[in-house]
Amino acid sequence: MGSPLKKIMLCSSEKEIFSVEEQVMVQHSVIINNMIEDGSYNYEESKIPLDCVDSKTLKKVIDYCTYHTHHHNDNQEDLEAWDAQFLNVDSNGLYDLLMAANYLEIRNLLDLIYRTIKNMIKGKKIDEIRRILNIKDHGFTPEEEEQNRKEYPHFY
Amino acid sequence: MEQPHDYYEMKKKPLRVTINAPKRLLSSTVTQSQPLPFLPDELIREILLRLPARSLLRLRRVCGLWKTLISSSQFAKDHLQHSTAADPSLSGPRVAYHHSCHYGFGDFSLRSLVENPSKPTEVVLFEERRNHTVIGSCNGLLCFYDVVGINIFFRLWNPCTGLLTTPSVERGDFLSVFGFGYDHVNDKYKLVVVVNHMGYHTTKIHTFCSNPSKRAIQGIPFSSIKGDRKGVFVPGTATLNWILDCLVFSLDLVKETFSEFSLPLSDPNDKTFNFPRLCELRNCLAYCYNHEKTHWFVWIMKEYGVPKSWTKLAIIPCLPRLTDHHLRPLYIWGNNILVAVASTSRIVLYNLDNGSLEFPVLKPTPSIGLYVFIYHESLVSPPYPRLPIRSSQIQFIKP
Repeated sequence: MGSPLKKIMLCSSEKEIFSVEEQVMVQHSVIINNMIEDGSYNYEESKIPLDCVDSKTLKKVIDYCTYHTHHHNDNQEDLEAWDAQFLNVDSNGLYDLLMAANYLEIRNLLDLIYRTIKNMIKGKKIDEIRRILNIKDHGFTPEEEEQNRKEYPHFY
Repeated sequence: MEQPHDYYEMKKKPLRVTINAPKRLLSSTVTQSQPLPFLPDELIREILLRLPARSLLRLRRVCGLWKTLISSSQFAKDHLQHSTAADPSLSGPRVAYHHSCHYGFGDFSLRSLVENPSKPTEVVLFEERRNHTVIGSCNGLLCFYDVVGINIFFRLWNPCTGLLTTPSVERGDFLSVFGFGYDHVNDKYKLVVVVNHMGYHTTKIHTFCSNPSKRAIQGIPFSSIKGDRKGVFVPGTATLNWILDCLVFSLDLVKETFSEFSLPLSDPNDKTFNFPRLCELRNCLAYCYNHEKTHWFVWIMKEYGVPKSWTKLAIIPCLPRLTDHHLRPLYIWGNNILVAVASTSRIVLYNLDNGSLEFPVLKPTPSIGLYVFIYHESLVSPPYPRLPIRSSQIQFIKP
């Protein structure tokens, strides 16, 4: 675990540099925690390049980690309300956050996004799920698909 | 028709208003917006792991990848583990029963019963299973038997997927003692029976696997068993448990050896407690008995096999509708609702906080007999399954 006063530098795909409390990222991101622990991060010179995370997404990710570091003792309902507000983004924003959380291995953020997408598809008809998740090629033969639609019309 | 529920909503039921508000925000974002960019397979898997088994069966038709994923046995195991770890009520606990007088075999959702006790909960009746006797349940599988002549057929059945094993057969006149459980070390489902054949009693373990086996083990002293002859399986411990005199008599399904440990307040001279029985609550061994015909005591063994960890859970007065000769605790819903079967063959909901009792309504029949089991819906396949033969078995899978 790093000292709470230390800062580390994160560099977005646009080469914008974000300075963050080390503790905040170490607590949330498995990848960054590993980098700090194995000593591969040099406080004087290093910045961590995150080539696949743009500035807008990185800022949100840092917001998430900062809030959850400083408010982890808050009651559950307040945290959930904050999380919901935090994820009030469009589908591209949600996707970018998912990819960034996956890349940085931020488990609680990942779980939050998985649950959000689960809620998007839960109880929905199959055609609607295909639309929401952009599944263009279902991979069934026309006969199989027709058979399924005929047998379970209420699923579609 | 039952809709899948959100487990977060359930977990924080008293906070419903606050919890629902964010959900509304999330869903409005989604419905008005563009589709998500195409997600990588491993992330889809993570999302699917968070859905209930029943929804997943329907979602096999979304695309070929989802079908392969959802049908794989590794996914079924991970899904089971995920739903047990996250919140057991996510996996939709259901109640299965068979009625010894009416030869009825039915099943209903515990959720609708607990959430809306005054609104009748619909029982799904299984005509083709009417002569089957349930032995136990584990990982979403029910183990039951039926008797044809001198042959006893044991089968495993996943009511959610409709899959059934080919039977394991035993020759005998009747069963004295039995129990069903899961040996997680060897990943095997095992059944223990004491069979009476021509006056001889034999204790046997059946293993359900690709090469089904049965073999005799050290005999269970069945004549000394008190209360239920059905062994109680405690998840995670791979043990079956009975009451033997004033002790718990435990069979380790991994080593196939027996051991004993004490019950709470096990004074052999105390004649004031009656109708002792073991059960499983919150994945722990539990013990219930009637004291002086006035109260039911319910204890939980927090750490399996450690008698010091017996903890009193509830003292329930024998009110007029809750008589003194039968109470079988089944499940603890949320933090405070004890679900039990009362002597009237009806389900009773006892509030552990304020002591209130409720008798929820079932239709078409309020009486479900005394052989009642809780199971959690899962995608786990019984070993060596056969496809459902009759469409009525598949009809159970409702969207």
